[in-house]
Amino acid sequence: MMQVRNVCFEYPQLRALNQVSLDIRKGTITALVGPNGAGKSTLLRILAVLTRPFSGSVKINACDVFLNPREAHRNIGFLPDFFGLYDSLTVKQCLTYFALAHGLPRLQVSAAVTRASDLLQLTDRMMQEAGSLSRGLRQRLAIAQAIVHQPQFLLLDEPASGLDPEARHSLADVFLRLKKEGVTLLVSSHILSELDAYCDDMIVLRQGKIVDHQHNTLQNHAQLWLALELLTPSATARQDAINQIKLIANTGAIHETKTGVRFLFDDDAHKRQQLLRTLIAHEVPVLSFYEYQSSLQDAYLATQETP
Amino acid sequence: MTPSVLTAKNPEFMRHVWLELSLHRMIGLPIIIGLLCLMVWYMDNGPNDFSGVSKMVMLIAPWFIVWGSHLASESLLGEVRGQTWHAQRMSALSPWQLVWGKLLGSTLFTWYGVIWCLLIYLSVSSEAWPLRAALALFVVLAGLLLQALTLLFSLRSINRMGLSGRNQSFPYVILVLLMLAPWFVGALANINTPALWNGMEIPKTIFINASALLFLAWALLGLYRLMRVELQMRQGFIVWLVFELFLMVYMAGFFVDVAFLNLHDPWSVTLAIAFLLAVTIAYLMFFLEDTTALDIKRGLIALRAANGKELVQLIPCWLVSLALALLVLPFFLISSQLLELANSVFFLLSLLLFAVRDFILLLWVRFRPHFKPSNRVAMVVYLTCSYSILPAIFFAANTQEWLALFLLPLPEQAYPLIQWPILLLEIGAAYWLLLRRWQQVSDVS
Repeated sequence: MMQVRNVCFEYPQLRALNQVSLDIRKGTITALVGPNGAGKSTLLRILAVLTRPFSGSVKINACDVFLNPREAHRNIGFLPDFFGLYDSLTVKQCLTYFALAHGLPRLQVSAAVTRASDLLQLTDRMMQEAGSLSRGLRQRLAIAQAIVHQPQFLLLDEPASGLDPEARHSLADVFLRLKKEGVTLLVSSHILSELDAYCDDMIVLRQGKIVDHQHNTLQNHAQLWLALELLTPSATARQDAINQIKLIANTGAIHETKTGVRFLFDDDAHKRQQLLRTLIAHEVPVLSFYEYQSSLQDAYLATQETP
Repeated sequence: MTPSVLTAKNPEFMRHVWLELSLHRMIGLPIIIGLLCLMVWYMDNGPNDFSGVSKMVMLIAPWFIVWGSHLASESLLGEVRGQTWHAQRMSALSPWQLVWGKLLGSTLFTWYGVIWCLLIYLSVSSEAWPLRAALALFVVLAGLLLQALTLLFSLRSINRMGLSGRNQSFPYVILVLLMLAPWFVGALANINTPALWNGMEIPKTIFINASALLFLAWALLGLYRLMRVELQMRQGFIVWLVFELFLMVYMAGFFVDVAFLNLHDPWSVTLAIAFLLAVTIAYLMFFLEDTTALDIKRGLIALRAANGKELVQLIPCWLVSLALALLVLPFFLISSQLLELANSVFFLLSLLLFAVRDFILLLWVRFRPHFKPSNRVAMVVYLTCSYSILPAIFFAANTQEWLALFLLPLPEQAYPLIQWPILLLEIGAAYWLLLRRWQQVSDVS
């Protein structure tokens, strides 16, 4: 378990992180989301023990990482948003170097290299120079380097940026496989749709503060969203619909969409029927009314509406 | 230790072996050196004359060392440019493994060249064996020292500026080397005359090798400490303090036999040198450390939280040097017989007040909300004008007495009753400016 308590960090005249406290559950994949400049990368660098916060503490299994940074590094793997590889070395040399650099005994190095290359599907590229790999393969090699010492935690900053859809899909598979292996992942990303495939929890960071930390995000939201499509989705029609929804349900999250509105609603069939009846009675031009499969993006947008 | 033992102990060294050593390089380099030797030997006076060859290899060896210095600096800056530095910082490599892995690993091929040159020199030189061995040893020690220094300054720039710290330290180290070159050449030219240090006559070969070895040890310790900082490990200022004390004793050793500031007692000379050195180092370290308002803020947070361990590692070296100057001063006052040498004492006290004023003003500039490298140039210009250009004008105009009041303390013109109130006023004004700026920069959005 990773515990972060009251972490503050400043850049000149800007508080990048303000009293950030959070717990990362063991064996989960947590999405770290937020707008540009929210402090995601700074937080990840602090969690990776690469930057010292102004105040606050970070603990891994109750051990303060800043008191023993090298010990912490044994338990953490980190892939920064901009990473490099030793282009002149082969994939095998890169992995061997990092296995040794992470302090693995020589006798275990070969097995660790094989395991990491298998996991990241790099086995057939072992003798290829890192410099000649494609973007997706470079990303995989960088992750393999970060996990070759089998860390408990893997922190990834925008891991899918610049990857094509196929490579993104394959990356999601990699994360799920790592989770299966017992690794706890914290993934920062802008592309919320891709996080849907693998994230359990979601932390929303805005202006250096944690505005929401949801556990089992997808399960929580999948059953609760309803979508209402309007025949003539004018501003007035939308507003009428929103007014009626607010009357029936005390929901905090209502999003206007191109064709109507989408909103959080109690999982109560009678209430839902009452809402539909009311909408029609008030001549809201309802075209369709259905349960909507919620995404991480909806969960994130819902946090924006929370005061 | 053979390279295979070294690679087993240090993955960083092993990586450099993979990159630096290839069969064609290993074979090609000695062939080229051999051909050059052959060419010079043919041009010498007869088959038994190897003087040209020994001179040539002793010219090539420093070239390899300078090239190695560039590689040592690049071993770190290259990691930053190539965005692999974070991955190394995240590894379990110890600071010491990273230091010697980079220092010896990146320069491995150039040392291969130096070893060939030294082997040839030792075989063909006409000098007596002890001198031959001493000069070869000096080349090795001075080479390691130069490479350690370039790596040290590169690490310093990364420490200060994070991944944007891509300052090339190599050209600056070479510049310093060129400035010191005449002294080195002079020392080597008179190699048979003993060095005079602390009243002792020491054979010059022993003295320069011992000095190079001592400074190399300090450079390695400095590298180790900076690497620890980079790896987020705690660091105090005690080692820095000990280094300054060493430097004070070492430098004073050159002056105890000559009159200095009208002082003749060795203790007074040592303490005066110690004071001047501490103040000078404080200025140099101010620019090297580049203390920002955020550093001060971090220190204040640690102070408020009574976090002594955090606070100790945040104390900048320039402040330690300035505090050391302050500590040395009372000892100097006692040892220099206050009444007889009033001028020297007043001079050093004035110097301290000038330094305090300067540091407050320098911090005021450094704390600018949008500090730019050009502002650092402004600080250097301020110091250069204060302590060289304007004094030169005052001297030319024969109005030195005014100079001592505002710009430069002079040993022969210390007027404490007039000078110190003016200086205290200047310090007060500078402090007021600094406080205002602090209020401005400590507001955060």
